Amino acid sequence: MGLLAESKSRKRIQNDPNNTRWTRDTTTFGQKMLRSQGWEPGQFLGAKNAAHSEYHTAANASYIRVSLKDDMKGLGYSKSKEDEVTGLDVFSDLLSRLNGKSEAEVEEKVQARLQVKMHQYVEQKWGPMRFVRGGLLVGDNMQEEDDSSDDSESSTAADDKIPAATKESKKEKSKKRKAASLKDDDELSADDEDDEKKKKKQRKEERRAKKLAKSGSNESSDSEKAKKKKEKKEKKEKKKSKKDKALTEEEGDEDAMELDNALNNSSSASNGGPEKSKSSKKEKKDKKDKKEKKDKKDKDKKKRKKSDTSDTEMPDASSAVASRSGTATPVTTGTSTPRGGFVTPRSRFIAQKRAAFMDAQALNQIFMVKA
Amino acid sequence: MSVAQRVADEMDVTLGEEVGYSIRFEDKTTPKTMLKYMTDGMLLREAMHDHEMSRYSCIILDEAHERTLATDILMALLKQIAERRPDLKIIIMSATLDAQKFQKYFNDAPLLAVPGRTHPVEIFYTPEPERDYVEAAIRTVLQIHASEPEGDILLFLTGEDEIEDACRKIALEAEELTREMDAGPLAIYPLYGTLPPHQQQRIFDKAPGPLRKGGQPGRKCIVSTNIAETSLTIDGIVYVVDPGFSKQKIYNPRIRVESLLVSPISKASAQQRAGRAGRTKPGKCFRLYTEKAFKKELIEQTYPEILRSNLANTVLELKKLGVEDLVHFDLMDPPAPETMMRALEELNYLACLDDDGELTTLGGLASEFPLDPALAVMLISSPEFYCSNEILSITSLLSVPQIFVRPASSRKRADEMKALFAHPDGDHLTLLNAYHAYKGQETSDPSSAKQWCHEHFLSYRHLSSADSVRAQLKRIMETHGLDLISTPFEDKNYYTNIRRAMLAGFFMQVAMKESSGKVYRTVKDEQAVLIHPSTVLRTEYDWVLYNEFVLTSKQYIRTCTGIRPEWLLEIAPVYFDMDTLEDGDIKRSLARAAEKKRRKEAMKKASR
Repeated sequence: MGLLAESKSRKRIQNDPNNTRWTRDTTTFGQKMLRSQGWEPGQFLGAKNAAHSEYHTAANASYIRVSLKDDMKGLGYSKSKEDEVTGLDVFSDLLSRLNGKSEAEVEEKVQARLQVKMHQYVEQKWGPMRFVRGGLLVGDNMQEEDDSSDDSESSTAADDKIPAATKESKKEKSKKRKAASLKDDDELSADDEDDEKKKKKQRKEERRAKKLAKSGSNESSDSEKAKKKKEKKEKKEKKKSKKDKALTEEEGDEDAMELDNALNNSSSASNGGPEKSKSSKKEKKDKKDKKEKKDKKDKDKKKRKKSDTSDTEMPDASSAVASRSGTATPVTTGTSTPRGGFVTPRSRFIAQKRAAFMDAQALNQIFMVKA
Repeated sequence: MSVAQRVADEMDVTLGEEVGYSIRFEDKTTPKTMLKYMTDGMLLREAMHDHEMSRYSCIILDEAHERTLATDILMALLKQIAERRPDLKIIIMSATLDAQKFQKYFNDAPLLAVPGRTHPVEIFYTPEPERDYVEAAIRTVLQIHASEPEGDILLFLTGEDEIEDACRKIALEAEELTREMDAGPLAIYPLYGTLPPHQQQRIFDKAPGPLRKGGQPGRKCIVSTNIAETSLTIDGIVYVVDPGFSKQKIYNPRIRVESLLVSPISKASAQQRAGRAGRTKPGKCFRLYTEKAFKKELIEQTYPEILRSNLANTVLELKKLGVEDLVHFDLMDPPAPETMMRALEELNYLACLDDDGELTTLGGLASEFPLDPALAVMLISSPEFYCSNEILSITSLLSVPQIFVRPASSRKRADEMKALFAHPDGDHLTLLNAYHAYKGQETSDPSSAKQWCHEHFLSYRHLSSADSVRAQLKRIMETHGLDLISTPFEDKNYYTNIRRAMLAGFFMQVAMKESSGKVYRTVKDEQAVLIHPSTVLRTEYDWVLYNEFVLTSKQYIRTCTGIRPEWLLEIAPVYFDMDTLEDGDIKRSLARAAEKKRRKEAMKKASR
């Protein structure tokens, strides 16, 4: 999409669309009246030296400007598009080389970037993949019940399943990695609630543990950050492996969000007001721009903080609870899954299935045969 | 009203005696009344005749955070009065976060914080901006329904069409979800201002129960405009979905257009929306934008009405309230100077203010009517045109919401029905025709009037409220000695008189057709406008007067009536002064009309 690809509708601009002729005209009755009462152009109306005048804004100086919104774009959507600068990646690579980064490091970044792009492409093209919740990873120990789960993948399933899907997370996967021995069986998303309860229990335990092991809050929040990053990276790796199967996944954030959700649930009672800890902010920012920036930061920070992380895991988790409780964290939809809408979900579903059966490659995919 | 009832019950007195209320068309008070509930507008009207508010020893101004025009003016007045009357106690109640601003404004008055009884609400943002906020909203609702525990959903959208559309889509998807995944039933209710009251009431229905015993519990989802943000409280809401937009009315004094456009809400408004989720138990608010967008793109506070409105009426009220110095009137948010100028200018042309800025007799009379100055002036001068009855009806019809109903499901039929009442000369006369038909029906067979309205796609509710507005205005006219007269219907000037009478108030809202095409151009402001598609105007008039100039997707003039240019010179010679008009098509056309008229009169004289 180039600069010229935006709107093609043309509009003739009138002679004086803002009627500045009227504004400039100093002979109008209104202007005469105001001047006679001591008003000068550029001044606010209202009491002289009013105590509350510090609250006056541009809207008190001139009428409010509006712009016509004739599309369905969400708040901040177009801006973010504009923010995307092409070619900056290569430049930043160059800079990092100049800054003395090793070739391998740069290469790693390039790969990570490609991955993100690929992920976005796949998601836009075929829609996201959904997963059901497995157990819960708490700190270091795996709480793993009968409910371990794996991808119940159906990247183009009927639309009515969308909502349930987005909730699913990769956190389970990272957990799984650690636990290393999980059976893959499908599960319905209804189990979410169970899991959340479990999580709560675990959190409680952790909080108790926290009381015992008091660590400097700064340090702990740092380490928490690092831990987050680690988790994320794990996710990413997981993702990569996924992609090999040419399947798509939900955004990497979701697991983090899911976790947050659970955390919040457990601790919202104790912690009221929205306190915005630095760590959570940063974390969010990272999430938002899933571009190379993130990867860069992640990696760098990780390197830097590896030492911190070597603290016990217990304070980490507890500080996570403390710092995140009450703060706002995204749990919902993830980013737009660009699907066509809701028009004919059923017929499309059928058509897709039919198409899949005609296609040998797709069949392999469905039966997970590596051909 | 319901509050007054409740308080009267709890005090064990009859409503209307010790405890009374006063709203626009109803005054339920007696000399015995000690406690009076009233709207801000009513108190302002009282203050016009009683500058000291001497009837009251204590005034509580509630919902001050809504910052309506009347509230803002009242606050400024009360601030003044408090200096003169140390005995008067004033309490301002507001749900705002910017209490400091209020406190500063009221000379550092003591501030009492009353903690709310609300539950915590978790806020969620999306990690990325949304491509399509409506679709994202629908998906969020479905996701909540599928995966969140019991609790009702409130979704904020911007307008009627969008809401109805979203309701349809959600219903479709939810049905499938229920059928295929055994989710609980989902009841969906739209909510917007023009919805008939019985449908609005449905939002208070209980959420549906599980389909069968032991099944997933049902829930309800309300899709609303921002009227659910403040004006109305629905219990049981646990989830709020907020795309971050609302339709806002904004007035542009330069081109005198009122726009009703979708724009981002304010932070305060977003918090208010989120707060709706925590009324019965801890809730969740899903914002369909990023936290960055929340911080960077939303303004702090919603603009108060005084910054968004045409102030002609306000200035007239202020004059009547005895405010001389408009420039230094101590409002919490002083309006833009240009808006004030435009208002003064309009009032001057309407002869409500003389050239020194003093209220004229006409202006004083106009302020007695709870109407826009243009409408009031039109009404007051209508006896001169022998049609005050008809103008009275038209005025009341213009003061209520659109009486023609046009449901999306049967647009064609509705248009056919409207065509029955259509008058070739314009929309005002069409309104009048419909009203006369309604009155005829009502007198001949009152019981079937409602049914008749339904059949003819007319809003019974709005027609009957127009009726009561008419009765109220009629009383005011009678007390001020304005005659109620009509030209006989058989007279060929019946409709001409009405059209001319309307010009007496609306001569500043006139547009002339450009030589090419359908585009009209407003006089003096030179704005290109289109006649709104809802018009019945068939005859190609070169000159039209319009009731409102709105900016939606295009610049439209709505409710138009055809006029003749020579009338303009006759009825509003000051506004259409040939010496000061800009050169151009409009001036040429007017000059031609004047010339033609002069010749005609000369011929008449000669033939006599």
